[in-house]
Amino acid sequence: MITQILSGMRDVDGVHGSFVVTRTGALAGKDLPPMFDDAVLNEVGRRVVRLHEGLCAEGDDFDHCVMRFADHKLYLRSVPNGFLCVLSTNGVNTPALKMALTLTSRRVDPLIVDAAAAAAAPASTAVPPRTSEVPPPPASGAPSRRQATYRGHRV
Amino acid sequence: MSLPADRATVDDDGFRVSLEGATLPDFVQMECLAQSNRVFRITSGHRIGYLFFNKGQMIHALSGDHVGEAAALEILKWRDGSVEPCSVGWPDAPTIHSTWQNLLILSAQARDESGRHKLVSFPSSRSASATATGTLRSDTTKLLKREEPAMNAPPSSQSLSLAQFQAFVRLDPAGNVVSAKGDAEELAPVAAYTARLAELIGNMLGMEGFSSLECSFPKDRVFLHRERSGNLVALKVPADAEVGALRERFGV
Repeated sequence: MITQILSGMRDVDGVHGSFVVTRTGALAGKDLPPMFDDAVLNEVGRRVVRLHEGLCAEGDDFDHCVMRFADHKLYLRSVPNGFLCVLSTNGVNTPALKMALTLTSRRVDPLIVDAAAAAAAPASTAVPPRTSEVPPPPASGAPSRRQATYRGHRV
Repeated sequence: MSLPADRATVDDDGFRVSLEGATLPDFVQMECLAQSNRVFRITSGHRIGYLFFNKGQMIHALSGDHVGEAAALEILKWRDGSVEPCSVGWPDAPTIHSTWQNLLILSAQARDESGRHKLVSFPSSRSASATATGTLRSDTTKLLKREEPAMNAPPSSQSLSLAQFQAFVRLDPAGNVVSAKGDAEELAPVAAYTARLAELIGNMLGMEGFSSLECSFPKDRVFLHRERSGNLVALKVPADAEVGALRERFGV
């Protein structure tokens, strides 16, 4: 859902893509080429949070922040639940981008917390439980097909 | 780098020159272009400083309170006085690593700021720099253009006066404060830290060459700009200040 909303940012000429991070820096959604993997964006998210903390050390939250690099710009829009980050060329149409940022951030903000939780959940369930751990109890009285073990021994 | 301690003595050949109206930047330019290896004592009122030249570069400077680049910039601000060669001990290693051209640019910027009480100003026309008289002035203008392409911004009548800035600070690449105005004590660490994070974020996303940042708060705006010399300029202006020219100059 977030990816679909973020894709609207690319309607603005010069926008490469965008991503959203929570207030803790966790990636909540992205609309970027595959070369930007989630691990990198999570690390970027943590740095965005630190940059925000540094800039807002005096107390006020910033509305937006733009960083210019040799060939690109990175826009950050602060929303209550996180940050919307947009990568663009230096020649991007700034007024059009700001309008798109405003509209997109309104639609994305309510979804950020849920999206971050959903993104984290599959990662935690995808990892098989280690045999050294106590297996979870069978769900609601249904017989478990898996053989329970404890420290590598059947129980 | 071996310093010419054995050559610190003043050559006896050549003319003894007395010039009225010359400036220290004129003198520095002359010595560096002549590839001189000498030390000069600069006296201005009760202030005394020393400039050390080696192989066409200013490699060391001493003033009452500073050593190295800070001392050189302080001495270059002095407007009148006398210059004489002397023989004092050379440092073990250079304390100035900027080129003399860069030092003159920084000095000219500092002089402009203190003299005109303008931190950022834009020429009313492109011809303004072309009509500047005097070799050094025109050379310095060229150097400024080479050093800071953003100075080639389109002509604008807009200018930002000191009164519009809540704080201004310029930091060298090591984080030392080169110049500051207003409430810069809190701005300096914020600027240094933020610029570093912006560079790291850019590197992770494959975006090299961080040059500027603008951050908008309810009551004010913060601008950061990495100069080609590596110095970092940070400005804080009220939210309602006219910043179009500043954005144009910094490219944000």
